[in-house]
Amino acid sequence: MKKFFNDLKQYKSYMLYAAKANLKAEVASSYLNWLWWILDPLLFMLVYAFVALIVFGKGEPFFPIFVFIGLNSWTFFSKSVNRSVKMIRSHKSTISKVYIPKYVLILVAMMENLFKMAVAFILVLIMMPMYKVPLSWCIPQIIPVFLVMTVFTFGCCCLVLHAGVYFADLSNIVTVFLRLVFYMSGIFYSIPSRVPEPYATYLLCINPMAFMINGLRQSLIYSQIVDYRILLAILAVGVLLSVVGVRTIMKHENNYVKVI
Amino acid sequence: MNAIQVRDLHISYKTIKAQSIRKSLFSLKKSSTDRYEAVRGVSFDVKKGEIIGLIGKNGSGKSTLLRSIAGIFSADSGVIDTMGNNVSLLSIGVGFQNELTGKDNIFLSGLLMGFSKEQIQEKYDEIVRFSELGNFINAPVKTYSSGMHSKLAFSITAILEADIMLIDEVLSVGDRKFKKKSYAKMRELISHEDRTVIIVSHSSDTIRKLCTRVIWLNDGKIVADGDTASTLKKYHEYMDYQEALMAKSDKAYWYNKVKVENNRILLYPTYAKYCDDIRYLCKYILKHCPDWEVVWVKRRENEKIDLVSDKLKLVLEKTPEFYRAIYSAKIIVDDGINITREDIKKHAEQKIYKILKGSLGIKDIRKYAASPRKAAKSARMVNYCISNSPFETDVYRGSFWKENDILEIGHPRNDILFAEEEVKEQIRQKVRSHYKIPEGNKMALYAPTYREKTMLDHERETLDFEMLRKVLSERFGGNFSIIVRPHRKDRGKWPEIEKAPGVINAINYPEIMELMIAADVGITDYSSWIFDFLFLGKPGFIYAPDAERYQEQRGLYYPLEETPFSIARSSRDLETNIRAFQEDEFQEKSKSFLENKHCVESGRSCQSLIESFLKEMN
Repeated sequence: MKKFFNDLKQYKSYMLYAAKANLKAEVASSYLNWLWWILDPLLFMLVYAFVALIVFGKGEPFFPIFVFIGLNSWTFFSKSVNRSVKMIRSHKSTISKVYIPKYVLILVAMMENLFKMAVAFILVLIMMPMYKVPLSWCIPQIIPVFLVMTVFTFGCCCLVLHAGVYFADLSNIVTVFLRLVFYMSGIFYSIPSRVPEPYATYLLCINPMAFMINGLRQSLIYSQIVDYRILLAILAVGVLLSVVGVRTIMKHENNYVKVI
Repeated sequence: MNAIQVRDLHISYKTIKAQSIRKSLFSLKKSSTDRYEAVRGVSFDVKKGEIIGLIGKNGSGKSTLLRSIAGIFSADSGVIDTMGNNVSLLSIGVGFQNELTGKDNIFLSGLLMGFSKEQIQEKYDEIVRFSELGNFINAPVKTYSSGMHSKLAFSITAILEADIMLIDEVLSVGDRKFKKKSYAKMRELISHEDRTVIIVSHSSDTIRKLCTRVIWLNDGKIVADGDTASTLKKYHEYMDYQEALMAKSDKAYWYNKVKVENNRILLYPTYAKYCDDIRYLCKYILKHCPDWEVVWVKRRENEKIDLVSDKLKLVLEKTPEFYRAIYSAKIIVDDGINITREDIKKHAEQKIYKILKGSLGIKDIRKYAASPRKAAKSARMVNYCISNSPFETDVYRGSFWKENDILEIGHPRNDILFAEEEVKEQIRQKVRSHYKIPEGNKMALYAPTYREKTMLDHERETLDFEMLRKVLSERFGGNFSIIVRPHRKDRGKWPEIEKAPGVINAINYPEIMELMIAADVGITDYSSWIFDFLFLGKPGFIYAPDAERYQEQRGLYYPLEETPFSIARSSRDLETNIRAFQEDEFQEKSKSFLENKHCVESGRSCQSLIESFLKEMN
């Protein structure tokens, strides 16, 4: 673990530069540039709005903001995990030439996704007064929730990165699994109000993403207090996953090149 | 001060190929782990400022070793200590992120190499200038040509000077101009006294020019580690040999591949233990011509050559090394009828010398030829035949060497017979102590030639060693030990000699010349050594129970009666002959025999041969 923090310090400038360069490259290679970071969730929001409001006729209050919060945080999580599965393979040329702690690559990806999510959340902040969402002292709660989400995502990414090296088709499974979790996380519906008890509670307790997305909505829309006991429990799980993941990577990372 | 320490390094690839989940679910046993050990117990130190060349054939573990020093591969066991230096690995297809621009990749590579952003910024312009990429530096790397790719990679490593540079096969990148430039830059870089460099290259030229030390890896182990010239030489010899193994029996390949080396001399004896001429010639060359390269052909793997000095190179017949030697030797000397075989097509400037063992021998040598046709063919390649007398010259002429040049200079092996008395006395003592012959005992040498089995039986039944010892003592005084030297083909067929008292089996003694010098009396049937024995002026006898039959089957050049020796057809005859031996009469006869044959032996044969070689070499 000491090495982990040393590496963070040592590779800080690399990570920042790499994340920046990647974002720049992404922007440079498309017409609408960074607008896509907003357009993308916006368009998906419209899709889900169509499905929920017109097809099923069951909306939520402040529906666009509601969907937006869910989509943004979900995108952050799923993109980070998806990229981690293929991380080693896609960086083969680099890691076969120079040593780099492999979780640094995860952190670079997460930084990019975090940045994109931050941009998208600006839209949420703009839309909130538009939809006359009542402001409350609950809003700053999003900070601890985001923190826990980051730690939890990192833990998942580490494990998936390691497994992804040895199982070439893991990414297919991860895609399907993420889709399942997507529907169980209440991105475009509200778990507490749509899922009958006791399943709603189960879902929120078992699925950390569902809980955290719900927590963000509680803070931003419903002016409710987040259940910090569960949040702490998720933090504990996230830290545990991270520790196990980092340890595994450290132990095996220099064998990755030999496998791929 | 060491910059890199490697201790007992083992690196293996577990070929746990990335596999599908289905496979790993259904194959219950742990994934088939084929371990491939790429590096097996390598240890070395690299001093600060050293430039090391790492050589070895493909798959010998060079790149693996380099990568593990760079920290990319983990070792299974062993230690790599780079003493906190920053290490950069330069290899083909350097790790760029293709979507990013050249500029970003410069910074990312630099950061990964352990430089700060400011340091990179400082060198940035220089890198771009060196790489000759111009405006392309702001384009994504995926748009680069492979040449631009490697130019950029080279420039990054070259300009951002790391303490330890590991260079893997990239000294020739880009076009010719850039190649030249990068080579010059590399020279400048690695000549910096604080910079430690390890270069992997298949170009011996590069290694020779740049490196101060070379490590040769083969199958993951260090074969040689030392100065550039000697290690490279060893490596090349090995690689040539490997190449040769593939072209093993391809004579044409070797004929075309090698050039004749002026001072290389190939000695090609029939059989290592019975090749006195070549043996004495070899000793003489090793002693007097130190700058000649002498190659000795072994005809069997397990043959022991007791002449071995590090200057004598041994090659086994029909191996690639043999072919290399036989087509590159300026001088080839053999001592048999069809030794340098008829299917060896020598280069015109190569010279073949033939020394037949016959001397004044009485047996018809044509009978030795397995195939007279082939013998005649190979005889045409011979340049010089070595003879010691008009008689022997006639033997050459009368058999296969009808038109070859003949050097009547005597036989190398007989030089020893004309040696100083002290030398001979030393030899006598040597034989005496070798066979623990009691002080004061005299020695009789009995060495028959090879016969069909029945003849041998006949001879050994009739020869009475006890009688022989007794009669020799009576005639010449003193006690006699009898040294019996059966023909090599008769090995093991004559167990009785081991048991008889005062009789010694000398079949394993390396040189009959020494036995001859040690002996006081010589006895044989038709073997040619007895004629050389005449030069020593000591009594000799012929004991040939099967003379008529032998003459009939084998053919003799002249009747036995023409020799100075008395002829015995039985043990009883031999006893009588020994008793009746007249010293004066024998000396008289032997003198006239040698004169009659115009024998030219004078102890200067080796010297004359060398003079002839020298003439050919110039």
